[in-house]
Amino acid sequence: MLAVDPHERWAAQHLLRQAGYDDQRVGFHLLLDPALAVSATYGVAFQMRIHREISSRPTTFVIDKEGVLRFAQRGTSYADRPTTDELLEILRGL
Amino acid sequence: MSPASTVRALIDSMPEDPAAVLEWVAARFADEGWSHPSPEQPYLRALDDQGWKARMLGLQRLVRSGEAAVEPLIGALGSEQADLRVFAAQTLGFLAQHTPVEPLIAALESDPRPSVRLYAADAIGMRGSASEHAELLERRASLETDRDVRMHIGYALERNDAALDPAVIDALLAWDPLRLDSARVGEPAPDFELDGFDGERVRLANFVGKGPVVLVFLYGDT
Repeated sequence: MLAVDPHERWAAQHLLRQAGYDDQRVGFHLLLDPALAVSATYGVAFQMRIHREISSRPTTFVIDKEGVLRFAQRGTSYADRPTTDELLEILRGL
Repeated sequence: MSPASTVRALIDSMPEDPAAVLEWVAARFADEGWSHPSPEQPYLRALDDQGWKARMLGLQRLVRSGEAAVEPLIGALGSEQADLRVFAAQTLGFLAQHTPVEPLIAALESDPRPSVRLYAADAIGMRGSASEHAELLERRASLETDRDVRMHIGYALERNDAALDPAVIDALLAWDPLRLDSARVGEPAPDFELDGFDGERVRLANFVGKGPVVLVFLYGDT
């Protein structure tokens, strides 16, 4: 899994610290996109106003092992993501 | 028109002159385009909204203009259109190395819209040397009523005077605007390369072949 966050590292660090996590290491691929280029390429940039910021629409994509985009769910609310079961179903179907 | 040709048409319709770019963005990305699913939910653009594209293209164009964009952007901090003030403050963060601190402080201290104050705080931090204004920022944080703005004043102070990494500007300017909104189900996923929080450099293409990838876009909240 790759997660993309549209902030500089400071903001990500602060949020981790605030949530009680290690602010030096996360142990998964939390990718930082402060230039917003990847968020814009994937069509999610600037679409959600939250915490006084203009941030990215929460979106989940699934890419198969040939590199083809097979699934895209663009959230219409911040909890609008596939559930783990739904994701497993999608991955099984690839 | 195909999606690619609509992006091209949008790019072609964008002016060169920074002041004109600001008007072009303002016309396409206004407060009225925000709606929220319920009172407890954040605001979201409609799924078919095109306005965000103008914002991204305008951001890149203005940052590419460099110093020449700063005065029009400072002017836009005084716009009656709140969303334009927000866009101007956010863009000035990317041009922080060319931006005097005074208009950013003025926006932080007196803009009625919290988002403007938030991006002004970010921009002060992105200039580097926020510690020169530590007393003012700390006083501002104690007077600031909005929790998120206070948090971003905190970021500016926590940066230890580190300016925005020039690699971020390079990445923004190197981005091909024709790639805007180019991810399509059924087509190859657009390749990209980003730095991970743990210091790793990640390229999507390196995962292809190893197994499926779940790619999740966050808005920046744990």
